[in-house]
Amino acid sequence: MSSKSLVASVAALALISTAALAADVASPAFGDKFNVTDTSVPLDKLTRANFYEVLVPLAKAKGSLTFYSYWPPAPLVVYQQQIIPSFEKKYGIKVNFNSVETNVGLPQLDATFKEGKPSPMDAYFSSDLPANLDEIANIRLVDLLPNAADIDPKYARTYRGIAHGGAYVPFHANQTVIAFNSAMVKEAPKTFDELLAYSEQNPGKVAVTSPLRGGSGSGFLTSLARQKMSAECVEKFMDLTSDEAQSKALVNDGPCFAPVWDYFKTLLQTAQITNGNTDTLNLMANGVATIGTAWEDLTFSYIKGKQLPETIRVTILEGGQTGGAEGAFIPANTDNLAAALLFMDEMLAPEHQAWKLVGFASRSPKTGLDDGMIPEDVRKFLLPTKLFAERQISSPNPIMSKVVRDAFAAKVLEN
Amino acid sequence: MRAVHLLLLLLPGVGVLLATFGLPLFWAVLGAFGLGADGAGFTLIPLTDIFAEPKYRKGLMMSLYYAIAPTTLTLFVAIPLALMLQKSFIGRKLLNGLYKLPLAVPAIVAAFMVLTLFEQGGFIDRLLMLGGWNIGKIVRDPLGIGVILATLWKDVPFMTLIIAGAFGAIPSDTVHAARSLGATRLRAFWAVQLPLAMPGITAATLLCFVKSLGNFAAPSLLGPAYPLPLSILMYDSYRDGDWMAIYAMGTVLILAAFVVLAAYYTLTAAAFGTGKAASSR
Repeated sequence: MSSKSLVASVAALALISTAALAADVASPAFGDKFNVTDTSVPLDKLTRANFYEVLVPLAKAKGSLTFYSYWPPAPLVVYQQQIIPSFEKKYGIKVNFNSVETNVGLPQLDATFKEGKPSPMDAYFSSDLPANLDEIANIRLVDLLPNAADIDPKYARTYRGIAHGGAYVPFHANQTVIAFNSAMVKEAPKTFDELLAYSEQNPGKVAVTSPLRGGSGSGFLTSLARQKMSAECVEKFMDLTSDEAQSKALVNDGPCFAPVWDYFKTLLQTAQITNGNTDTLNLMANGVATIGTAWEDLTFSYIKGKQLPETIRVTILEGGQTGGAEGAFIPANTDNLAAALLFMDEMLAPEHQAWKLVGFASRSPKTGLDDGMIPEDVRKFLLPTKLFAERQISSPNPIMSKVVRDAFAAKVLEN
Repeated sequence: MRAVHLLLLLLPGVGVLLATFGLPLFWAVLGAFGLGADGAGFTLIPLTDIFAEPKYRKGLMMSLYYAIAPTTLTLFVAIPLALMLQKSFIGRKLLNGLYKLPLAVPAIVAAFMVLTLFEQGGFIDRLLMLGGWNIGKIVRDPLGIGVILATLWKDVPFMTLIIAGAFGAIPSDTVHAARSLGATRLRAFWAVQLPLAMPGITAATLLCFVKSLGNFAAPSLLGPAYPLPLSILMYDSYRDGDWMAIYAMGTVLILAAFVVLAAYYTLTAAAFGTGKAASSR
């Protein structure tokens, strides 16, 4: 695709976003009333229509904001090279950027919240939500931010089983895939059974990330479970309200997971289990493995960095593979709410979303971006958007996921 | 009065030790029992889980294995090397400098070196392919050969340096006296040099063992996907925010280290006596 059509598409998206009318955002995303400590922003009167008019003067008066992001390389670069410079130029507000792991940043937030002090960050791109949801500003951001008008509804109100009502804004959608070397694999497996058959015919050529060590492995396990279990079991598996006892009962005690463990035990007789997402890709880079479990964006960044051959392609097996969208939230105890709201909106600007998709295969949670925006020479390394849309499936809640990983160690790796 | 003076004199040193080492350790042990500021109240569950759940139990065994196996192998390389360095030969100066090089290489770099060299499809495998061979599985193998190789490479100079110092401190007259009284070279080594150098050997062993027990980089990069040593499981628990599990694993790891070291001291003392005892015989 030419750069002209890319610009045209971006402009069209921008138009759609800014023209969209706000939904009723006067009510909180959860709870009875707004929980923010910074009351300088009139949340009851704020809409998409008056968003910039109300917020820009308030935010400029503060002059700066502090933004935290956890570690994924693609979003980090996008923030540092694209979003922050653009935001600073547009509004003249300085952004203090910190890369802080979720398990470090959330305790910092928790400590300040309990002490009644302002949060250390004004907005946080994190892989998890705080255990106490009241620590995040209960504003319906997905209904309020002008650039959030075309957020895919499947990402808008819940994250990993937690209903946040739109207070956690999806930013970076990522997808687990099967990566294969098209120069060595005549026909890529389309199903889990075809993958198993390939592994049996080509011992040592399939690399599976250990579900204990990497998201592409646990995603593969989850996807397999959804394929191999009965409909009744899948329904219980995907019940996002399952607690630990219910999860253990389903995974450890019942017959639901027997076919999953059988499949994995058979697969690991011929496939190699690796120590992480990059470990799998390294085996593919060395030419040892020809098929591996992977993340779409990580595989793309490896190809782009010449760490993987350009013959690597990705696909999603029939029945789907897990993916999701990580996002950002505003702490309830920020003392810089106006700037935080503006920055959250900036994150979703179509030009930034397109930039990170083309540059890093960091998919957008917005519905407006499609294959047409991706240059031809990049498109071949990514999933076709249609396949992505049709076959992305969601993950169970974090408690269930942990129980499954522990059971995998006990039932598969122990034997 | 004298005791009070002594205590006051010791206070700065002991106080700093207590504050920087004793308190965090005490805090961690309390945490393992569910006590402390964030604890949920007294419980033995995190500790019993370590022995009840295969993941943790095998993790503990793996941690001990990753500490004992390379330390033992390192001893077998470091003692002859240290003895050799006592002798005069052509190239000794060069060897004396070269063997210390790995000391300057951080453990994580050593782990990546082993990964690059010994991975399937890695540097050595590609060389072997020219002759129609392959390297087999050294990285991620069930015996953790890659981990042992990386640790060995890193620890040999460290241990040799200490042991060479211990051997060098033995007066040469002592060995000559043993030889003049009819002891063979091996007998003189076994009955005189080794017992006299034992404090140095023990110190080197202790340091290498404890260092390897918390080894994270090499098992993470080069070890099998399962079982994982406690160092990695502790990090996983940190990512999950499970501090009680971290405290419990840390406490068990420290206790296990004490038990292994006590056993080592007992065995070496029984076999060789202490250096002091040997020198007074």
